Amino acid sequence: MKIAVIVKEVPDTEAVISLKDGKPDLSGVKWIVNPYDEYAVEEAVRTAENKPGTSTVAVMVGNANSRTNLIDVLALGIDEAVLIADPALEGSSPLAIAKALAAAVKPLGADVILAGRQGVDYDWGITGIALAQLLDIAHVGIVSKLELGEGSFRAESEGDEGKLVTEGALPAVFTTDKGINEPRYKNLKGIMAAKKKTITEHSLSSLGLSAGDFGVAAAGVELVGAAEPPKRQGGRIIEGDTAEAKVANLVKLLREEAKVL
Amino acid sequence: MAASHNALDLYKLDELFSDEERIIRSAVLDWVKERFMPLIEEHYEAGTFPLELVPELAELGVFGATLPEQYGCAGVSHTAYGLINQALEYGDSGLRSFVSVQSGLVMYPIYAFGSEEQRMKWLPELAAGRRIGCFGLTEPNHGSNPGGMETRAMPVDGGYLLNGAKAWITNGCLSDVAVVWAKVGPDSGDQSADSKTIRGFLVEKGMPGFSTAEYKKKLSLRASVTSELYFKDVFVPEANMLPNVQGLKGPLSCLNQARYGIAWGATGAGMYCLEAALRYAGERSQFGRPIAGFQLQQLKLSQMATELLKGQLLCWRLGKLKEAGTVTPAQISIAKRDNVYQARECARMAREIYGAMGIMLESHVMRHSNNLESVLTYEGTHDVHHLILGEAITGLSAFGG
Repeated sequence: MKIAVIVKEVPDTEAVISLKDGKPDLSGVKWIVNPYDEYAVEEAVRTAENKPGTSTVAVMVGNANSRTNLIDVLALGIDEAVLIADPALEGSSPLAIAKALAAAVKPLGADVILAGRQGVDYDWGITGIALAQLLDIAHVGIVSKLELGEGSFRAESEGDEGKLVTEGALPAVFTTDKGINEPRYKNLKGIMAAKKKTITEHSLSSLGLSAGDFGVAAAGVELVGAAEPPKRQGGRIIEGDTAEAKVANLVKLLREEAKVL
Repeated sequence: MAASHNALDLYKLDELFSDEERIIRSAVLDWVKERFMPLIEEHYEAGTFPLELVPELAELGVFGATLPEQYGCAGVSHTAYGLINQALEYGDSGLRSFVSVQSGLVMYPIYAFGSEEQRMKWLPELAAGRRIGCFGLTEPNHGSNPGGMETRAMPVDGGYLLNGAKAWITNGCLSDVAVVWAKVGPDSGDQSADSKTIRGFLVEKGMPGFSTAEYKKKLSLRASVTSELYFKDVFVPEANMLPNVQGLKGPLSCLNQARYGIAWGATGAGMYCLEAALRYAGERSQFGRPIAGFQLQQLKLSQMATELLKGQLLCWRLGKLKEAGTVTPAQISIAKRDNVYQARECARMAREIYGAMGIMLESHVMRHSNNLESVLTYEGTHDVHHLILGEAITGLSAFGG
């Protein structure tokens, strides 16, 4: 069995992101592997551990600085990686990213494609689904449990109103949710082993793609502006010596000041 | 989640490290933050080491991390080993001490001076955390002057009879094996001649006559077990003597390993304190504005940041010298001494910035400050390290009167 895992980089979730000229200022921000993708990576590594003969490959659309995060993924136990880096990709839409991924993933002949359900940067949640469409294979989203058979799968997805169970034939794309597993910590042996693994680099042209289909100009969507949420106003402590007095004061304020009663 | 070092990396020191070294640091730091920090307050108060985390430390691969893979170790660079110590001591000096002792003072001498049989017997077990080790050099009457040790190994049929005591031994009561240094043969009355007979012995838990006792009521390194070791006619078979070293250079070369790790570790304690103090000073308002904006607080923060920056540069250079195989004991001594001293100053300043909150266990900064009191005088006291540099630059030894 061959498993491809789609990973992307997002700003560190601990980073404080400010706005500059009405756009998020990402200069100086540390980039990490998208947390939802960590579940996909863990699922791939566990499957490979449990099914002898399984090989795993991580595929990332990134830039020249993305190797560190790919080594991170290799350190967790993924066998090899593919990095698609091209300046023309800057500002591409999720659909365009999915096109680049599809071009890189197709020749791999993967039976299973795993990706996080969404990136925690813009939270589009589109790329994995679009990738399945472009490859013309099935997609199951928000997967919290995955069982893989010979050429078949059974996936569970948690919804607000219950659990959805999907069964079907491989190959397929699964986008992973929290709860599918508990991602492991990297360890030193894994990190040392990662050094010896292969990262294959692609540009758009080496994938047979045209730069004109990518980037801001071809995106079809434009980020026109961003604003910080309004700052929280200070709270107010209700005065009163007893609970009854406090309730009386609260009711008075709701009636006279807030005018909601 | 990988920790962000960027904001305080004033000289872009991260660029000095390889991808692999940075990933190793963040792997250990993530573990420390997520797994160790939630437990430290409880253990510090109880005066216990979190032994329940030893299997996780082993899985992480931090025991004997620089030693070769054939012994179950990760084979990382000395710089990476330094960054591991930094990340561990970001959590607690006791955590770093546990790993330093296991790695630098137990696994290193077995690797460097042991027979292949001893290596194969002990190193994979110690790397996997299934066995714990300690190092016995210091004695109740001999700290800065290890050559004066009184512990003796008398040759007998098939081995040695060990008598004496060792003091201030990290992990002593927890250990399955103690690397014990003793003079071989009877006292000749000539200390310097006798120190040439010093040999290392692997004393195993349960050997008749070997016992330990724990120091209680410590105000420092509370989450680390410190013990005395006693040897009363302990028979140690010949096969348990380290065959490949004799004299004080055996234990002293181990101390160089450990001091190297301490120099790095101290920067980790300092980093925690600087990050915490910066965060607190930014959040704590007095007179209508954050105290981080007051000049006296900025002076402290600036001093902390500057000294930490210098300390990390010392370590980085030391790592390169160690990797080149040219590092000298005096070079290691400088970094151990000054980095620990500056980390203690950092921790004290952080505690002051915190005001009353600084004395609380939950603020962590006074825990670091208290720990560093021990680190300042163990593995060579601060003063003795000045004398090592003094001798290196004047050519005159201040030791021995």
